[in-house]
Amino acid sequence: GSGESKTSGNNGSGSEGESYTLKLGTALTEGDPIYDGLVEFSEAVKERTNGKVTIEIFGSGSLGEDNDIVEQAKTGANVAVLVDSGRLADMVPEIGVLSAPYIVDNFDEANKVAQSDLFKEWSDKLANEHNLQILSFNWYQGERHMLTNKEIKTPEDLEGLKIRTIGAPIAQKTMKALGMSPSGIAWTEVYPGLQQGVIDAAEAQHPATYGANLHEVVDYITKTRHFQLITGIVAGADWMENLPQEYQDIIYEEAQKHGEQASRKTEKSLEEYEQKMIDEGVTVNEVDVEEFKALTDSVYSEFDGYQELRNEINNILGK
Amino acid sequence: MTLNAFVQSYIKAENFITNFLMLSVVFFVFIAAVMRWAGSPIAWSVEIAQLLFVWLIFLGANRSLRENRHIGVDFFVKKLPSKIRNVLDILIYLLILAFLLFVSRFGILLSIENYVRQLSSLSISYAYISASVPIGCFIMSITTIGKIWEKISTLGSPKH
Amino acid sequence: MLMVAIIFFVLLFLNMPVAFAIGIASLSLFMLEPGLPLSIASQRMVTGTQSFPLLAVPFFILAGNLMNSSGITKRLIRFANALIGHIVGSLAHVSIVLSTIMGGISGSANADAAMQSRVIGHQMIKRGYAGGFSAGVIAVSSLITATIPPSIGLILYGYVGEVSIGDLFLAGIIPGVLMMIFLMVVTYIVAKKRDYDRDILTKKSTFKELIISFKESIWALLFPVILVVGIRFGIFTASEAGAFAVVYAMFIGLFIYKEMNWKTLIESVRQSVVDNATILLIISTSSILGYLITYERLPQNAADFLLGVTSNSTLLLILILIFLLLAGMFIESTVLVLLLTPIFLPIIQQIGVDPVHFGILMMTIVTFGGMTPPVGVTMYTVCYLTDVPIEDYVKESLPFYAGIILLIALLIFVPSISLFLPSLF
Ligand code: NA
Ligand code: NA
Repeated sequence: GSGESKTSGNNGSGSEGESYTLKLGTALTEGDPIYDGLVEFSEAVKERTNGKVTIEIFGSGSLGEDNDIVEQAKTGANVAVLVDSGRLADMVPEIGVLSAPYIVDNFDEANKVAQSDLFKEWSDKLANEHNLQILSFNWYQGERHMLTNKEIKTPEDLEGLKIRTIGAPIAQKTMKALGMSPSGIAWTEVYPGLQQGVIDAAEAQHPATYGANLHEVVDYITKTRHFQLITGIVAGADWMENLPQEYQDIIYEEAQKHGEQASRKTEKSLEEYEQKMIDEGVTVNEVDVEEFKALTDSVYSEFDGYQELRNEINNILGK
Repeated sequence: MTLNAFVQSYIKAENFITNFLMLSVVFFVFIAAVMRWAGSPIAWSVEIAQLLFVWLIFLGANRSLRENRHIGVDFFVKKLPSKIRNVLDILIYLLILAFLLFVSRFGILLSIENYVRQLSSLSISYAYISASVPIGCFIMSITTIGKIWEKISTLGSPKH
Repeated sequence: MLMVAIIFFVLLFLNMPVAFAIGIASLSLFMLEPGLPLSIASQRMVTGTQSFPLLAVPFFILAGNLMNSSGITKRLIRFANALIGHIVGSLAHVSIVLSTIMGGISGSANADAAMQSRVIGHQMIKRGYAGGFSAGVIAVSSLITATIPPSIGLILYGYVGEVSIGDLFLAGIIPGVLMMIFLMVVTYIVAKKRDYDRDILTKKSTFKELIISFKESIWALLFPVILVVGIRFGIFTASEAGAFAVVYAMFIGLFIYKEMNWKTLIESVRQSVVDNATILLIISTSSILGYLITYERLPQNAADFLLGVTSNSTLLLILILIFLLLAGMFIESTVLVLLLTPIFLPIIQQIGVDPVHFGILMMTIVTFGGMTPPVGVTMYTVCYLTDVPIEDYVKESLPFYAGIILLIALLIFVPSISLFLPSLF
């Protein structure tokens, strides 16, 4: 729970006369629709609180790694971070199911889950037991695809490829289920790694692929859509509670609103990113996603309760 | 066992452990590259190397402190008379001691508080990494106390 | 933040070890800033060491130590002497050329400087070169390593600024080679004036002598070749190359030259543990400072100020570069790239400067900051490893600083030096 280093600049006596600053970190960079959405969110909060609540955006991971900012928020610092559910799974394992392969098919479905009572349950647990408050969990960054130098038509083509993926166990298991060998390489080494053949594959959503210039070093992007990358803003629960109720409400409302708006923009931008990369020489292929999906079923049985959670989510989505 | 004998065996152990860690980091990174090249990569190799690396640094830092190898700028103080220098050194060591104790206290609290944080591909707590700083700093603070003790003895003896 | 700077300098001049001076100065701000739990200081010290490319530092330190005890260095120097021993200041030239060769292997100036301090530093001093001169040439020439691809700094810049890393790499080649030439000229002038190598150089070696020493040092010369081939063929990454260097040096020392034994091996390891910890502890506490600088938005505020000063584009570019030069003297280069690229890049593009061109300038300048006082990891590393007082280093490095600044000026006014190769491919 919350530590004894709980400080927030006003000793719990939050009042509307005081000013508050929240430092929001993200690995994204300017120009990414989600990053721009965060800026708009911060401007809206500033305006509605008459400049009393300032949200400063720190892009390109300049405030630190996501996991480290989560830890700082937990100990009471005035920081927040945009994270995927996998990062929160250490604390509330259920929430990690949103990072499971093919758990939802698009942003609308992800958004529906994020608004559900089931999600509310997880989010309360995170706040009560781990001092982390989700501001909104509807920031959609796109669907993740396979990046390779070899043409991929069926799952068999992935067999034996060395792939760089996210460190989270669920991502590693998914890659194994698809027949690949996940390989521990830092994100900054993916570009030279692909170029020099240290790894054979990587996987990412279009904005990240384009942002890291990975289309320069792969020949094919295969639209496997294995993960839907949905992220949320997380801050310290004590810190949030310390704000005057009115400000809290404004922050939650605006986070919700701008998350949705930015996600819509991302959805639209995915095509533009794809076209840009095609123009720069990459071949983008569609595949029969069902074949890939079938292979990843086994991943769910490797995590406690994930089968049941998938059923619950399917219920919410009416599938 | 006398205090001195204990200190001597601790130093021996620390030397052995840090040498071993140095070679292990090389070994893991080397093997990881070889295995990946041979077609069966080890996903956790980077993390294990970084885990050992951080311990290598903070246990090694104590060794470096003991052997007076940390880098400083003695351009100004070397002109001072040795008595004043010794007093100054004691003050500097006291400040370092305070810093080390601060970091070890708050560092260990952080490791405990966030024990749930996992290393992503090894299924162990991140505390195995984050505890290296407070533990390393704590060991260094003991070494610093020893250094202060030495300096005080020098002050007391008229020979120096 | 001013208070942090004052405390740092006072402690530094009272001979407190740099790592602790940085840590204590930073901690003073935590006491004043209520939004900052003290546990963050400990967290930053951990994360400062958790970057995989940083592993190249201990690896190349160990490889450097092992190359000494395995007999590789001895032969390499012998060969280099046969090759360019007739040029005044030959060992300094060897360091510069070696940095250029290493540039194709390592992406880190610091790792290169650390290795060369061990390998050539002591030999230079023994031969009668001034300590400050020796440390200076090793430290400053390691900038070549960071400019020639692969370069960790350029990868970060390309990533943050969404600039083609391939283009950046191509753009770094000619400036890197020019840097080699500039520094060799500076070395020649200084060495000539000081009459270095007066007793040693006699005549150019004969072709036969050259071949003999080439054969003798073939395993040492193959060293960079094997690393380049290893990286090119995807056997290991640039960060992992250091581990191969270690294994290779051990193998040569134990089985080929047979000059290494268990005792000298352990001695090299012992030496490397202490070297590594000393250097990494500075990086570790510096990352507390780096966090505070970010948290307080110091670079952004300074940048905002800068933009208010002028609207003339060339002047603005030069002002930005001077700002980077000053910031680089205090702040670690990766921190600056992460923080300032997103701020400066849009401005730079607005005033019509090519982002690839700016990337080369920015990387060169902020990495150069690591070789200058008062805070410079490369400087501390080299001075420590060669046992040279910082003040001697600074005094003797001035001609090399001048050479680098001259080159940067040339790069600013002739963009095609960087942009020529990317335009071809
Ligand atoms: Na050099
Ligand atoms: Na390089």
